Amino acid sequence: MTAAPVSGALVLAAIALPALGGVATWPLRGRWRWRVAATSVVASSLATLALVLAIARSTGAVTLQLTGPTALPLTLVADGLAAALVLTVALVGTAVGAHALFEDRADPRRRHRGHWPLSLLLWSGLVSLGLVGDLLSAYLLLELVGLCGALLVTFRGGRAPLLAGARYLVAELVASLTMLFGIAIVWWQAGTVTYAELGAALADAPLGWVGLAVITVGLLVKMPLAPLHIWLPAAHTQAPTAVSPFLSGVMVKAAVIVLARLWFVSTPELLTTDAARLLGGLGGVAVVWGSLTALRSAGLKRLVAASTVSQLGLLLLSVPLVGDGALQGWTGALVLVVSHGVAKAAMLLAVTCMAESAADAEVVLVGHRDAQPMGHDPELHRLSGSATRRPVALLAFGVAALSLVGLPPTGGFIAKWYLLLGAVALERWWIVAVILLGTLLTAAYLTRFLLPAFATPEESPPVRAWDGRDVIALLLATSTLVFGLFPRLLVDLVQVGAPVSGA
Amino acid sequence: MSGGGGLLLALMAASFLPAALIFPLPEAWERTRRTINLVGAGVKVVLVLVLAVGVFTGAQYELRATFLPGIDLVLKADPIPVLFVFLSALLWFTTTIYAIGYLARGDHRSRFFGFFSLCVASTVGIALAGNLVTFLLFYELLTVTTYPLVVHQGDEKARAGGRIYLLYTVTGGAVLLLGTVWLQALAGTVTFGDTAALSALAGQERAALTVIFVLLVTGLGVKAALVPLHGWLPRAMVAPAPVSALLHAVAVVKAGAYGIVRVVHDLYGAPLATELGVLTPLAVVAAFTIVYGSLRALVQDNIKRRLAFSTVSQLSYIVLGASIVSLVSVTGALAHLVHQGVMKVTLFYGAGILARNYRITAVSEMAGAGRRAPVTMTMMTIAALGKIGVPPTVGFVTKWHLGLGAADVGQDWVILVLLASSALNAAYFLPMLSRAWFAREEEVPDHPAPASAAAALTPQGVRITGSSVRAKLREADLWLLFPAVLTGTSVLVLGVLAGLPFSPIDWAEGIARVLFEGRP
Repeated sequence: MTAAPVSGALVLAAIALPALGGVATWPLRGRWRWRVAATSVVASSLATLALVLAIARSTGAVTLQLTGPTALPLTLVADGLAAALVLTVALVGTAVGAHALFEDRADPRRRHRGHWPLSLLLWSGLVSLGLVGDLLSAYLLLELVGLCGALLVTFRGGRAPLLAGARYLVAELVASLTMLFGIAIVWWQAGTVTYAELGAALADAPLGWVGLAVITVGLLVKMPLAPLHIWLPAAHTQAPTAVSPFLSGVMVKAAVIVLARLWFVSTPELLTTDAARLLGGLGGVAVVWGSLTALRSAGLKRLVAASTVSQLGLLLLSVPLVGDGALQGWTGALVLVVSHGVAKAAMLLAVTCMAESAADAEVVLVGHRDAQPMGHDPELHRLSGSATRRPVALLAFGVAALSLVGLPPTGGFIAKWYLLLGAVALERWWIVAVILLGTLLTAAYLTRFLLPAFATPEESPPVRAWDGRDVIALLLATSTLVFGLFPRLLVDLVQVGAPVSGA
Repeated sequence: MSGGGGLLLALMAASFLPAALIFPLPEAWERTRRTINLVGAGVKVVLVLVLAVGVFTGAQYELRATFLPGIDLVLKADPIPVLFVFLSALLWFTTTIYAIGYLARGDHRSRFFGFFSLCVASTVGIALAGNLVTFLLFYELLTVTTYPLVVHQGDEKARAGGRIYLLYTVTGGAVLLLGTVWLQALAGTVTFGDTAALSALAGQERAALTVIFVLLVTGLGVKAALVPLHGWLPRAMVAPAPVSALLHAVAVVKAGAYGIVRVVHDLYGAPLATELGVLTPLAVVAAFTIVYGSLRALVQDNIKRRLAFSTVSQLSYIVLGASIVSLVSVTGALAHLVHQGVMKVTLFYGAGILARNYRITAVSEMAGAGRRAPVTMTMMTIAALGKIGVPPTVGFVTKWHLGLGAADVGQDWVILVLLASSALNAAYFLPMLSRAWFAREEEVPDHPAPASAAAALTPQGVRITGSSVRAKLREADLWLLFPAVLTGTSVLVLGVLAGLPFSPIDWAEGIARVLFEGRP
């Protein structure tokens, strides 16, 4: 084998470029801010994609030791797990960045000054989070991205976004404190927080297992797992349009990746069958809960947020499969991380465009406080005729919807295929049942929107049926078709350094 | 990729390319869109002819691409696929012509014809699929691409129909997916035609194989409209007539019936399926569907709804024939894939002309239709007689083979079902025909209602036919009439010429012989 293609310089570039670029926009104004932001988005995107390619070309997990001026040597692990998150960040970040840049090209001053620093810092934090090899760094990074996320939610200004951001922050803090408490116990018992050493160190330290359990609870709140998700719909709904795709598509995966690294890479032997089943069962509840919420949500962004809760449950559902050594479960879950991230972000970008052509964008997206959620869909009906008004955006929405439901030829289908294959091979019929039920419910709540979309609109369509943002949404949605038609791209990537080898 | 893969690739390209070109076309570019449509459909017919000749002369066509580790996507031109592709290419061609005429004044034509092409392209994929995974991919693609066609009208009724359509087909798709995944976990990728693979597992995995069979057939049965999974079909009638024609003759329902044939004969194989004891229940369900569909058709006044229930009934002839293990009845089933398509497409072309140009949508309004639209009604009459099974139409050929085959293997009850069905078919078609031809009409205008719309399009037709014919063909422009005449006469011609080589029945017999007796 030749030298590992993943180099320290590449990893540093992928982490540092977005952060530096983001900070560099801070003192600038007007066109210069726009130019620096554009350059940063392009550079960050190239660096992150290069990192993903490098991981795809390596044959196993690559561990890098960064010894710097700090006391702690920092371990970074570049494997399929990291690649899943990094790839999602790269694709969604690029699209969301392009969306914001397109909106700002006429008047960059409308965008909140903190937008670029915070969102690019978020980008950098998420890339690092995928790579870091110890619990304490993961904790610090989760803290960082949580703070960035909560602040970004408030940027639209006004009472509702502030409230949503505050609730988000409180949830983050509760989760962080829980996690920190758990980490303290683990450190005390194991004397280390590096993933690679935890398994051996905790092998016969039952109190340390309690620590792991506490960390897990913290991560589940951060994720969030239904019914701990009450803060999520408001936050994702109130966030600016150039932020919520990133929150829904990528942010929610951060805790999932840490969870996977903790249980499957670091301490797989400590994950008992019962614990795995419990996590899977909670995931199953979340699938149904989120879908039922989405079935009766008022407002399109709320619907999409509830759908996120449901899809996160689907991810947890893979825990018992991977716990029993099914490579299919691992592959399915990580393919889902990428394909859901991309599809969900594309969907939110498309929704923004379609709402603009509707009678009252705000109501369509956010919903009334006193809306009647059941039966009538006054908010969604305002979007009727989107097929005529915003055909490109609707196409993007449709393709993203296919992926969320799990219909071919999309990445979502590949994920579902692997999850089902794993569940059937292990004869976990309840998991099969939940996956299929989730499929049907997802189709049901998405058609709530797709049905009025094909209605013939009463008034004549607006002059512009699409602009650059519609195309950006469509391009992002198309990437899920690429994953569905050439699934080896994704499957081989996420299997790099997989901790399980097959069932 | 072995030799001849290029032809299959060209065939897929000829199917998908028109869609890709049509979607971005501006609404007003009628001529360009029409050209792309017709060229695409024409090229496909030629390619399919080349393919059919090649297959008959023993050439092998296969296209293979790695999809997932251990799973290949395979397109393979065996005789059964070629029969189906042939049907879909020809009927797509006629339906494209018909749709161009039918939607001449409609909205969203680029969207419509884009999805229309995608829909038929998926059907080609379904036909040529060489294994279950490939089949599933195209099958689901068909579900998705048909939806915008079903809701094309955009009104409340269309959307309600679309919702029911999605409810049924997505659920059916999920069941089919489960069956496919399970089979994959059990036996790996099984190529169609390799029935030995599953037979080898019959010993230790009997129960699983039975359940998988039920899952697969249930999933496919939704599209094949087996009772009680048929509820979506009558409601999908809200779609424009060309879509209904396509839905009922080539694309959606046929994909389900075709899938059942392949699962029974190319995946499990008749011996294994018989041993598992799944064929008799399937035959009973099919027989029940035949009778039930006819009974429901009896009481429908809306023409398209009556035809829809007739489709429910007629499709199960295919399923019934496939589930009776006899060379002759399987021959009948395969031939009925083509026969039913030709007959039903004619009836829907006719119903579309009546609805569009004469505002006749119900059987009770059909009085005088024969005098006002003689060509249309003649074609509908031929097709309806075919459905009843009157010789020398293709419908008779099918029923003859089904009955003969059933009698061969001692399943005499099937003949009773066929007789009952024929009686019922007569009971719901003959009143319609007699009303159209013989009933006295009450104060109806003597000319086609939207005469202006029709007149705007006739010039294209005039160039072909000359003005003397034009006067007689006032009932509809040639875009609408030509396809109906073409398919209507072939109901008769294919029936008369059934004994000749290369007729559908001859073709089907050759296939069945290979299935039952191995390669000749």
